[in-house]
Amino acid sequence: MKHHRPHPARGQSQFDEQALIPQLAMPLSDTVQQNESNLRGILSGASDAVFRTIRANGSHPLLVVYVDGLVDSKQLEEAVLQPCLQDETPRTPGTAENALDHVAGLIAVGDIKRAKTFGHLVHALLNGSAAVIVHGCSEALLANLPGWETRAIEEASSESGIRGPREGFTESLRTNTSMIRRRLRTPLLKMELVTLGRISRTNIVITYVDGVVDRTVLQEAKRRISAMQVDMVLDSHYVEDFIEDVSWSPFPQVLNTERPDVVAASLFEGKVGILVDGSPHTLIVPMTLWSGLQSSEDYYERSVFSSPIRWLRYFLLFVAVTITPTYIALTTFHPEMLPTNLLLNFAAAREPSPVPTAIEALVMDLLFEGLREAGVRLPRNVGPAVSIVGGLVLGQAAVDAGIVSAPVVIVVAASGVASFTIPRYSFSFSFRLLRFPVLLLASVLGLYGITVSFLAILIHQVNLESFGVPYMSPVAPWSPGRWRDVILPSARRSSMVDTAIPDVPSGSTAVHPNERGDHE
Amino acid sequence: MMKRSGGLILAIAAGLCLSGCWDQTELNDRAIVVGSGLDWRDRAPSIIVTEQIVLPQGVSAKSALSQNSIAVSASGTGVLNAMNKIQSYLSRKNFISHRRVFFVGEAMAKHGLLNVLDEMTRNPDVRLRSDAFVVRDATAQDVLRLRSPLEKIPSLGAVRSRHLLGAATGTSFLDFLIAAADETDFATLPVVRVRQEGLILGQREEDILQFIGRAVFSKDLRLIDYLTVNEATYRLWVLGVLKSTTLTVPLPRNSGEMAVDVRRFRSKVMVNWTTGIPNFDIRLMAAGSVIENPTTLDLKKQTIVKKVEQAMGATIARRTWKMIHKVQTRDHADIFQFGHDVLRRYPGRWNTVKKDWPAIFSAANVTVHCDIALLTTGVTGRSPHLNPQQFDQSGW
Repeated sequence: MKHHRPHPARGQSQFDEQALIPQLAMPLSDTVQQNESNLRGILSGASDAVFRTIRANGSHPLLVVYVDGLVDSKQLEEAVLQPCLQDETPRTPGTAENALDHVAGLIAVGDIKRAKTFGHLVHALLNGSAAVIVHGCSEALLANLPGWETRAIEEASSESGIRGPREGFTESLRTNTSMIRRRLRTPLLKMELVTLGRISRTNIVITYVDGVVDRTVLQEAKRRISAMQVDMVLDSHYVEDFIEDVSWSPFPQVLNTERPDVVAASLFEGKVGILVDGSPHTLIVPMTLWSGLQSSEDYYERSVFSSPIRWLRYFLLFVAVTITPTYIALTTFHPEMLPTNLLLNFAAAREPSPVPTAIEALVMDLLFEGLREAGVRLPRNVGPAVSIVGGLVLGQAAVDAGIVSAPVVIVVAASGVASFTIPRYSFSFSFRLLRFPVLLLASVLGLYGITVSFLAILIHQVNLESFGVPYMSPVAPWSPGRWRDVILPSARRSSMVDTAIPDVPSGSTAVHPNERGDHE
Repeated sequence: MMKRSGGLILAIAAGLCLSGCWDQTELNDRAIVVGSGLDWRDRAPSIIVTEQIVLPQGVSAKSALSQNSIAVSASGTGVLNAMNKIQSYLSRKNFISHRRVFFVGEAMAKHGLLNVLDEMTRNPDVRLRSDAFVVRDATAQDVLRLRSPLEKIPSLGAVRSRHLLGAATGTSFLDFLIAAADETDFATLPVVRVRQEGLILGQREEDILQFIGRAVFSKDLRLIDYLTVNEATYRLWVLGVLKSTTLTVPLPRNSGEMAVDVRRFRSKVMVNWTTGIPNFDIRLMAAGSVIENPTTLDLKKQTIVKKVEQAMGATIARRTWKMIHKVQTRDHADIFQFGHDVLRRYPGRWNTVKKDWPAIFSAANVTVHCDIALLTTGVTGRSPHLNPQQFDQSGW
């Protein structure tokens, strides 16, 4: 299967449902037998499709069709099958419309739709509806009874915290939207449904708070999503891939989170959330560098604690990228910059090493990344084995054998630990990746190389935009009043109080975030 | 865009690899010099440079007394000439940026440092913030051969002991250069000597380095005189750079000596030049606490403390005056920056007198006053081992 995530620029996919199954465009006929044979033709080979014909009172038959496993079978029985079976009223030969209305009246399901074509009917079946086809009617009733098995709501494993709400998104779209709704109980919270993917027909919800959302971002998000031409959307990243501004940048321009509270807070800040059915990761646009470094816990803990921790995180981010290159630069290019005693300790540790420091560090860094990758993939009960092999064999034994010098192991471990402090796992990729070019430049140019690579990274960062919002904002470009949240989590709290949203939805309440933020 | 940046990256990578522009030297390809020495001999080539190089393997050893450094000597017509010769003995790159201290043998110091100082300042690898010492009665080689019982880097031992005696470290070479370049100041350097068999190692005895005062240089940077440790301490006090010291001061009428830990030094030099020669009135101030009182004086009595303070002040003032007088009469070298005081007080007159400053300095009238405040008398008042009848309640 090569058509994983085809890019729109690379042309349309070969897949065309309508061409492969011409019956989909056909309208329903008014005989149950005819409709049944057509449906069986369309759903041939689908062992999970169930056809149930009901002949109550000797009247005209009803046909109930559903996909087993997608509908709630208990509810189907109680709300559809039993009322139809127990229907005592004789079927007076009347108009088809009457018959359909009568059956619709029997079905105790809230969400009932009608389908005229087989295409509509089949897609509803595949979305968890049960179809009731009444003899003599060229329309089918669609009772929405989704009841597939889903994972229970669990703690967000990639963004766990000590304090604050623990629930995380699941793979079920409706569960996820409800979790956001429960946090923002306002009719201003909009959830627009889009279906994407010619095969997967994945439901995608674009959510925002009307009146707070940045209109230009919202329109741009909608435009980019509607321009997507894909066959399958298996995860929210498929969407991210299409809508991000610069795909080759090491920095993600779309934030993803597993936590409904983070989404709610972001929506409140005027951002747009994109939920994808089947993925517990919700996308949030626009993203800035700072939002990637903020943990939701920063806002759930007293700012006296959380502010220094945020500063520590910024510092460690710097450490993660620079400590190994700095070690290489200082020991091989500028040893005069080190304190004498430190230099002597480094020199003592370095004495037995057979390979250049840069190669040592590169190999250890690669092995560290390998360990991390192995740890992510391994089954839980094999994990400790990897950490023993990695920690003891690679670290201790390599040093004892004199193959790798101890300070290199220390700096590589320090940069690894520092990179773990980045609260968003996918954002830490950027910095893990950037370590390597910085390391290479440092090993050929010394501190000058580190400076050059930092300038390059900064130039890229200030040029980067996410949905028209500069990546480094509010620091670059400087926007007074809003930058405080970068340093002090409490600043956001006070700004949240200031930001008033109108209670009643009205068309003209849209406030641009730039006007909104400046009145502190 | 992608193609262009890809090409650029390729070009940079190629440039880095092909140009051979690779400036790095691994730590185990460097010979780390932590101290060096300059000696003079009468036959050519007459300059002998000795470098103390650490052995990194030895540094990681547990004991500081294990062999963790080597000394390499070479003679040459100049400093760099000799250093190049040292490089030819070494399998690693001579790395002098961590040379924190250098020693000047007495012969070298007496011969004069005018011709050897340039390398110490011009070479970009040299750390200017380093300490320099004159070695009394020995060569620099003798010092660099010693092992320091407590320091991993032997030559740093002298720096640290000097620091403990109350002087700032890391600047003695810089101060030397500043004074040498000054119109009227005379340069000085701290002095060490090799104390025979001062270090007892079980049954064995080894030589040890001892800090013993200050060397005074003439304007052409020849060694002319030595000050003792105490004299050097009083000089630093006059200059106002003393940090802390312990003074043992004899009290009048043979009532014994008292040791005082002194801190918070201040000094004030007032110039008065109305008659033919300038008058320097020096006021020294400090606060101290008694740490040893072998006398029978009862330090619980405030009158006694006052008497001790006065007696100590008088003794210190007399000793300081003696030290200054010695420098005035024997060396004619202004090592107290008195010239600067005159310049500040009489800027108009300075230009006419600075030519004759050594003579004027030698003839100048110096008075010294010293105020010592004893803040505490240690953790006991009276010596606890004496019975009350034994205490001297009145003093002298």
